[in-house]
Amino acid sequence: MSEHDLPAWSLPADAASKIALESSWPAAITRDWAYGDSTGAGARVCILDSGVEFGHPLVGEAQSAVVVTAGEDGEPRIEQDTEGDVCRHGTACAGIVRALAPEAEIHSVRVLGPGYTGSGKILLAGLSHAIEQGFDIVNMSLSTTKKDHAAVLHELADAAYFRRVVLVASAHNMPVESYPWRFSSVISVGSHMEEDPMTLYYNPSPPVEFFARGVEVDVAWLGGETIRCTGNSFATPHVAGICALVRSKHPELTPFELKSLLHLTSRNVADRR
Amino acid sequence: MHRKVVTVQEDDALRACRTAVEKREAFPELGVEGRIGVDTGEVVTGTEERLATGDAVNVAARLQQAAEPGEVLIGEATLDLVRGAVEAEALGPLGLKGKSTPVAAFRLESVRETPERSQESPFIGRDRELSLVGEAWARAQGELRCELVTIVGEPVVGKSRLVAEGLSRIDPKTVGGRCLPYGEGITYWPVVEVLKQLDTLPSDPGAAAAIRSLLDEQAVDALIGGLPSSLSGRVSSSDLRRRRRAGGSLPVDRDVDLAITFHNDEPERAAAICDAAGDRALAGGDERGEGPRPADEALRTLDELLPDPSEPLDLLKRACLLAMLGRFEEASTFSGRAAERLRELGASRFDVWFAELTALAGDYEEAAREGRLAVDDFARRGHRVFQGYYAAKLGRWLCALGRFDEAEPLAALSRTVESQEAEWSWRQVQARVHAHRGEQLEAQRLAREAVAIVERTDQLTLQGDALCDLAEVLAAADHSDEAAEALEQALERYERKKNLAMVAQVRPRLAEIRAGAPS
Repeated sequence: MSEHDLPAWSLPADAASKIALESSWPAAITRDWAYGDSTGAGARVCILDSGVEFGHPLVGEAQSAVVVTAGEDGEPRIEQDTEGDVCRHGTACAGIVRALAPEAEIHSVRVLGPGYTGSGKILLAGLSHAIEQGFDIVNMSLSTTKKDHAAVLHELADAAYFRRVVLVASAHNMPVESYPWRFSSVISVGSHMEEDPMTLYYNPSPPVEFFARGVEVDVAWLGGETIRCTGNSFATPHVAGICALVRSKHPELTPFELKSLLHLTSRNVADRR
Repeated sequence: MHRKVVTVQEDDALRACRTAVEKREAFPELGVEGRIGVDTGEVVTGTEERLATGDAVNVAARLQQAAEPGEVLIGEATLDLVRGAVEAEALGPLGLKGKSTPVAAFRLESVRETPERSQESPFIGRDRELSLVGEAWARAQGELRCELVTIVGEPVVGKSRLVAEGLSRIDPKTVGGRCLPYGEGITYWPVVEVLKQLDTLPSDPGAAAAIRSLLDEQAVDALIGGLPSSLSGRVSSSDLRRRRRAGGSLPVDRDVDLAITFHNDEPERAAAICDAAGDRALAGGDERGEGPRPADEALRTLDELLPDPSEPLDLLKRACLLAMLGRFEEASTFSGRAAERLRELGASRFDVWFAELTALAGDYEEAAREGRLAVDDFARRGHRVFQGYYAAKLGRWLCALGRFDEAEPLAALSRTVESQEAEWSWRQVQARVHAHRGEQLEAQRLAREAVAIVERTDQLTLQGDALCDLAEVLAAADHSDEAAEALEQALERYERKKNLAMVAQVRPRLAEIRAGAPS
């Protein structure tokens, strides 16, 4: 059989050696192998949210900040963000990522306005931008219940997956359909009630795939303050932070491999082995 | 090319032309040359429309073959349907293979964004209709009120022309919205179109928020759960009360979240948002009967505003008011319908409502069971304020059943919540627990504090509840006279509220206490 007979998207006969992986996984995956001694250095985490108050004691400095706004023609445009956080939510998420991965880069893409809400078009533009920037991890502590946006969000989630951009998305706090957390190409996160920020549980009954700390979490708030909050919004950056640690130590991992690693190191999976 | 037909739509031909033009424009980018033909007529389609056959398909194929690279040719039948919406140039009739006579063909140049309607022909007659439009406009201006003009007529009878002529004679600011014939999520399309053209929002923050949502400005939500606990105390407790009156539904949650956002920097704006949310909620009736309006009056308002309720919250509001009025059978019908509707929606069960209904009916075993589900559900959803408040309610029902050991941890939980409701309700439960243990002084102190706090609100049923708990604490200490006095006051609140269900529960207890019966 010649190479011309090979179906599209297939592996040519002599190409197997070309896709050898850079590092091999040990027989037993441990949390120590996955992210032990990692500080998140080199990992680029995007907070797709309400902006981030940089310089906050719990957040520190940022590598970049942009805001997506509606131009005069109604089309979204991306500009440097000089305003910071407009409703505290992004700062809270960034603080959690920073706490887990102190040396990770934090980039802010502001798509939410005051009142913890934003437009669908702006979200789509912000997510496209984040994917184009090739961030390692995008924290999405937000969702839309509007079905109109589901198809495009789904395409973007898949595009991110293929471009090695890991989307970590909050499940809704209410029993309602919303997106993008329901798509299998993202890592979806709900809350558990434990206090350990590094504890994850794998959910064998998706759509929610992982549970992380999200109840009564002390988070960064504006003006350098902290408050105690509950919500899947705050479970999500715990997973994003752990992903940053893993990516920092194993930059070659694809989103599929990274998700597999989270599964293998989840409390209910790792402790059973 | 031919246009796929799923079901016939009024603008199929126009959509086919638009598709053709967009494809033609995409050819260079794709690095391909393409020719397109479009025709209109009856065709037969096979399974899942993989196959289409008919004369229009053949003509479209021949037009495509006759087209130059980068050209779109359309047939006469198509042009007839899109005239006014496209720019097209007539070509000489083409001799097409398989057709015995030459076929008229047109080169499609472009599709206009908004189809133009020709108004060149003179407008004749219709004086009566025109004067009706003019009169409606005059009334609207003179009396500053809305006027509705409905125009009904067969296709091509001239409805659009009449509108155009009518408007041209009065020269108002005109905005328009269309109902789309197909598509998803298009219910409010015309409203959205109109609002976009008006480019303004109403002063009522609640209405403005709803409209922003329609305009896609609030399509995305941050997934913060409930109120930030250290901020909940900053929004005044009456705002929280209003929030709960509104049923804790998402839009009202959003109002309160908005209010919190503004609370530090713009407290007046925050208050206005909460007021609007509360007023909207009150307009729907005094739902669980905690406020000052008598239950029968609230029920009448509901009947007027919503004579045929079908949504769960509306049904449950009705059920609670009916239960308060002692009309349990009717209440049960409504709550049954609500439960059924919730099942259809696959939504959570609103256990709180069912718990309160059963408590009103005096079935505290069932109320405690439902109440436990509600508290657990709020905990799962991160609604800490609600969890704490209903923990105390559950605690009261457990006290009524003599299950004080189970009630105490609920009082402790409720105590940790920063809300005014929790302030009095945890004291009520803890007071009963102290009284049960014989710690009378502490019990009376807490029970009296609870009454004093709830007296500062306008919530008659809750005042009655706190007075009942004080009465039980006093009865446990053998202060029968004071206990009876407290129960009489409770009765007065329940009667004022027309909460006949609680009146019926309290009267026999008052008689027992007067007769010197132990608690």
